[in-house]
Amino acid sequence: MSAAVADILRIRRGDPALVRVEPGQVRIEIEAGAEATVVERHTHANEQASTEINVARGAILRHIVWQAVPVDAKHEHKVNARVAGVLQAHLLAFGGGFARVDFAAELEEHGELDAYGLMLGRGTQKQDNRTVITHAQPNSKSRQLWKSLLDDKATAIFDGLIRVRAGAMKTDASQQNKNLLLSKDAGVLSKPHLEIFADDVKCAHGSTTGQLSEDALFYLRARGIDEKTARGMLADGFAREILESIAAESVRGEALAALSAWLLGGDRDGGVA
Amino acid sequence: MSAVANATIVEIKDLHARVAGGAEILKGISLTVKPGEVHAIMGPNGSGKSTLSNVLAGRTTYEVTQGTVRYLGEDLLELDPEERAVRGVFLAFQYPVEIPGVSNVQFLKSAYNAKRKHEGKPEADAVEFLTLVKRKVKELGMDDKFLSRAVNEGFSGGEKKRNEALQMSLLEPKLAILDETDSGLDIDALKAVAEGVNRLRAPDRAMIVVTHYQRLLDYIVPDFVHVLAKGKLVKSGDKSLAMELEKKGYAGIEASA
Repeated sequence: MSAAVADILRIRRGDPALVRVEPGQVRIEIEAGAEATVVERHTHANEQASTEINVARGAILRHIVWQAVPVDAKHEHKVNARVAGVLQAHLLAFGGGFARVDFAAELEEHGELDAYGLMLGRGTQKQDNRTVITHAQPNSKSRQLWKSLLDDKATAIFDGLIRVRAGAMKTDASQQNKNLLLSKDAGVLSKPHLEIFADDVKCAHGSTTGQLSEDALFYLRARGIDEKTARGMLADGFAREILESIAAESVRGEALAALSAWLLGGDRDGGVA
Repeated sequence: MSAVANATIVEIKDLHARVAGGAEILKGISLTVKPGEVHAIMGPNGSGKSTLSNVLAGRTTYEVTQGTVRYLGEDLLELDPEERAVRGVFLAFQYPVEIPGVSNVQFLKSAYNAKRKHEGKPEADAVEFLTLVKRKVKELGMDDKFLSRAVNEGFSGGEKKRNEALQMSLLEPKLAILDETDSGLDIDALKAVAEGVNRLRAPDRAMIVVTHYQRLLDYIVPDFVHVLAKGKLVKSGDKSLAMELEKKGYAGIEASA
């Protein structure tokens, strides 16, 4: 099934488990007791794409944004979610010359968010992902794992803000950002922020940026695996964690295949996709 | 004797090496290893044992400044690490590297097929390979779960060394270099790994066993023992030399050398 632009996708208990929607102005409402995966595959550049999400208490939504617009295009996407139930979000930024995602989620009491991001870039691609997670009420939980894999002169920004409002006690929030630079000219700007206005909260964040491990590379080569293949295996090993966390098997398979193709792409066209 | 038995697997002549840009660590090593032979190289910390192992495997953080290494008629030092590996050089790492996100089975299959490809043989498909690797896993008393885990990630010291033995058994090298295989192993794990290695002793295969302690040589019994001190082989003998070392210590041997 497919929702037209500006339609509201209402998901009720017993509806299909996997829904693909056309990106544009998307609105998703999922009711208590319902559980579904919604996939938005962005293949056309749009500077005003938006998605509004409302996850009712007792509902589970897995939302996957797969951005694969042309690598010379500008693309911007705003995602706003209100979460009283459980939201698992995947933001896969594979395409775009300049692609920005603003992901904002507001968690109500007992709301849970698991958000994963993967930014791929080569050539002169610029990926820009910004998250604002607001713990508005007590006992809510958020986990963020964001990775970027950058080659050539590609750059990425990860700007992640965790806000804990006054009164949102027992908030449990974590944010991890890991970046792997495959070339000396690639760069990443990682900016975690915390704004905490409540007591008795757990907030953890961390950020690492590095290059392929020379030890790991030598280990693979010492087993006969050529350097190019070895680099590909290590890069794949770094990124696939994000994709393996996609619950829907068909989407997970497609995404892993797209990652493999992307890694081989450097071979085909000399690094500029 | 057959032609194979007469051939030399590796001939190291006057090898000098250093950490790139650093002080010289190997100061003129000469060693000839023939098929079927097991050579132990014993030495104290800092004598250059790991440098020698890593130089033979082609680690680029080391720089050879003098000398030659002929391997089955080729100039070994001209070859990249992967070219050495597919020709049958195998380094069992002192510290096997953890590689998150890469499954052990995928890694093993890539390594196995790289060698098949070099030999002009068709690559093994998934089913064929799994059958083979599961048999090897069983021989080493390992669990199939090893295969689906990420390479060495979260493995105990013993599991890592067994994984090295598994790779060795799968790749059937002509020259296996065991770099301090005993480090970090309890006696049971040591026995299991040594059994795996002993099963691979063959008339057409040679081994260089690098170790600090004589203990490993109780299980992998060498034909020759060499003492490495300050970058040079200062004494060579048969396995009784290892016993002598155990009694006198390295200081005693170095003094009498």
